[in-house]
Amino acid sequence: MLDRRALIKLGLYGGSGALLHLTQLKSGAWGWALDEDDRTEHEKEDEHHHRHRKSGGIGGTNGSPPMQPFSVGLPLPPAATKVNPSTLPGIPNEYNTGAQGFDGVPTSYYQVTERQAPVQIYPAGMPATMVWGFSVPTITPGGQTYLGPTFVADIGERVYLRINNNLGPNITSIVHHHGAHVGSDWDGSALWSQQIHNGTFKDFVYPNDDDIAATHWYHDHDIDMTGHNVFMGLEGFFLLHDAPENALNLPGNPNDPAPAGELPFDLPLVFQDRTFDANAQLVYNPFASRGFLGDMFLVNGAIQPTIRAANRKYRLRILNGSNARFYQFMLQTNTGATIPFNIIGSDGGLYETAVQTDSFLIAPAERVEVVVDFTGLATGTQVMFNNCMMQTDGRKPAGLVANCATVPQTPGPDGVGTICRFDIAFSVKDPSSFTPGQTLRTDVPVYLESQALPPVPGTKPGATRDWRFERGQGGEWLVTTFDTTTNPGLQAMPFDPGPPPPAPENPRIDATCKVGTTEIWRLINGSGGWAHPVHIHRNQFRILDRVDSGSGHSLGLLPTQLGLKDVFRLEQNVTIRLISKYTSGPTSDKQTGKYVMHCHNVEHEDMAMMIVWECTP
Amino acid sequence: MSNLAKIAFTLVLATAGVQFAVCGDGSEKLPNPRTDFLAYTAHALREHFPNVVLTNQDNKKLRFYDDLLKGKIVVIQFMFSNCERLCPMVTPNLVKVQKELEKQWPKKVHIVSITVDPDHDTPQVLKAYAEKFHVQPGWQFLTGRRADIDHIRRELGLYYPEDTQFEHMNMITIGREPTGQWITMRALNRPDVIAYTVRRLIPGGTGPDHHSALSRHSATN
Repeated sequence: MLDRRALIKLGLYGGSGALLHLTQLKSGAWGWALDEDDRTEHEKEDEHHHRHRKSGGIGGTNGSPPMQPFSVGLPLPPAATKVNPSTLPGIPNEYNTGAQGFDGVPTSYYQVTERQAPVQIYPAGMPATMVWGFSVPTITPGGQTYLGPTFVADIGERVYLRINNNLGPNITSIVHHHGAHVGSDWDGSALWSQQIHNGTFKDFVYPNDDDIAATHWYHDHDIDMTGHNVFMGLEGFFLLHDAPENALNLPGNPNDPAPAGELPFDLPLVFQDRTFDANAQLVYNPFASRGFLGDMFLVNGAIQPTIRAANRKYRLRILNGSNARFYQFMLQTNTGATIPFNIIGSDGGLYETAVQTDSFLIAPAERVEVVVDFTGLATGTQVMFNNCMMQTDGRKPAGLVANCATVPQTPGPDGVGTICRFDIAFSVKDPSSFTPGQTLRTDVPVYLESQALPPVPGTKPGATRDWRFERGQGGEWLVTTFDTTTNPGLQAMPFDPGPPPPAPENPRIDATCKVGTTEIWRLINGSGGWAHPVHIHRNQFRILDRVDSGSGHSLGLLPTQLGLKDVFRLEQNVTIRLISKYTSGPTSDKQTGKYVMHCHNVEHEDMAMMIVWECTP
Repeated sequence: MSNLAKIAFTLVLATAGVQFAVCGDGSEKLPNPRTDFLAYTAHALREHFPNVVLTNQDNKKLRFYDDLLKGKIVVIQFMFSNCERLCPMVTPNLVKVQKELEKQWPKKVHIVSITVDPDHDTPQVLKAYAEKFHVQPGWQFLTGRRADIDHIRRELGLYYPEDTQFEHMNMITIGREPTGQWITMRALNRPDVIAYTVRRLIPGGTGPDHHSALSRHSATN
């Protein structure tokens, strides 16, 4: 039998006052058994501090069971399957009209079910992991995953989606389409009226008529429970395409299909950290108030997968789907070369012009689209996808390692290491086009400062709407608005969701914006202790500038901040100025109503780092 | 990987199809995550609840996990009787929450207030405090060893010694222990929202569920 201390270290320790170990049961099978914990108080205290040192005192339990790195393939969730609207009981007549919609707008119909299911994440032989996801288990040629199906739509194609909640008693869910211009009732903000109760469904209409080709995603956004629910797997990709994108002939476009059995050359990759217990079960810490950090690193739901690739160009859609972890990515071959990233897009879609960088930082919920070129690499070459950002505390990343080329093969709890690996395994013709620094599209929306209206009556033109992210005297999160019409005393105010059901929805509204106008918002972090990835619903923004909150000194924009953005990495002592226009598309409603802005460190969000703003006609 | 790690890894692999329900001595059952994931989670979360002895306002010794949490729906608050900034508002706020919950869901919810100033807040002081605010039965005010109380605060994510700018974090922890569902929120949240949040964890607590968002929306909106 293993030494008790070794078991503890390996994470096979199973709960307070008891120790989990393997034993032969009366039936003859092997199973887990609990022993009385006979360690001294001093030993327990030591172990406690050891754990808390490992995870910065904020996440996880003991170490997750180890897993051989690069021993599994990459799961790629299949595209969602269209359904006939007549198979959706109760669908309003106006929508029950088939593929051309009631108004001639092409409409696609889908249905997914949120449920619990076992998914084999660790190798066969280890128990399957229970996950919560959209229509899980998702079975792919590369393995099983908790990610939901990938929705794919063209700009101008309406998506009608029914989401059933079958998660279980007393479990609610809200589903947010992250990145899109969507009517407020279908946006999936953390508001009481948006909750889908267990055993019920909600129908969503996504017009997809006011965005450009982009990597969006959908995920749970339930009130106070988002951290847990997304950790359990309630998320998936939502990809939008359009004609200007297709004309670019980027890797993986419809005329550049992958050979049978190989992964596509346009590859969505979501990076997440998770913690598992000795039984391979997901262990969320609901008390990780600073932000949850895991100690296992997954791509598309697989732990440190290998991505079988060709020596040619790839388009990668990179999403940081972690609760609180920041990453700095770099591609390094086993022959000592760095493969640069050509950034072609951010949260809201493609850039005007591609920019090249050797590495980039990505905060929770941010998307970065890149083209990487493996042309010329010999088959057998390995390309390591490295993370060089240390983080052991949910509050903020700790900084870069000195040398990103020589990180550990398997990341430790600080996250530094090789997250996944491309194995160059075959050669194939590459008919796609891409030149570093090339022009991509000239129709990305631009919002002009000269058109920005004063957001608050009585202020001068060009005034900004200011929001300060800070803590109150009881340690609670506050988002302070400087809008004197809604907040006369300019007081710091915590999130107020309004009275609960069955009362009519009536949250405190901290800003009112008119459809069709342009505004400049300023997000201020005056603290040196925390970083907040702030997400604003409904609109895509352009970042105007990024300055030091104290000195006002310009910090410049990062290569990931040059296009349309909906997540703003508000690092310690940083102020960001944003501009957007409250537009709506030609086929949809005006998208009036209530939306939210919140921290996408989802534990901060669950602890009310959020405000409600309203769009009025 | 160290040799020990390799051995352990092999052992883990050797236990294909681990049996969850039975344990060596038969005294402790590990719930099966496939059939009751919430109960399994609740079991895993026990390590966050040190089973330390606390003393309530009636001088009764109670264990934090066994007597105050196990099997219960709880609201946990940290306070101290001399607190002059926010606590004087928090306790009346929770009195309103208790009143609202007791009306509809009598004796379902337990409120656990733990002092962060155990040197001053003796059971007698806490009893006077409870009487001053006219709290109803089902609400314990507790004191204990400072190290034990800090341990509980740390496990609930509400105590970071380096955060010196607050006397204590003014948050409450709402949970249903047997299902491992826990929510942390502002102690000065609206009392109706706090009560509704507790009801989210009570079976049937938020009323009958119904399908939503069908007739409300028309395409022209």
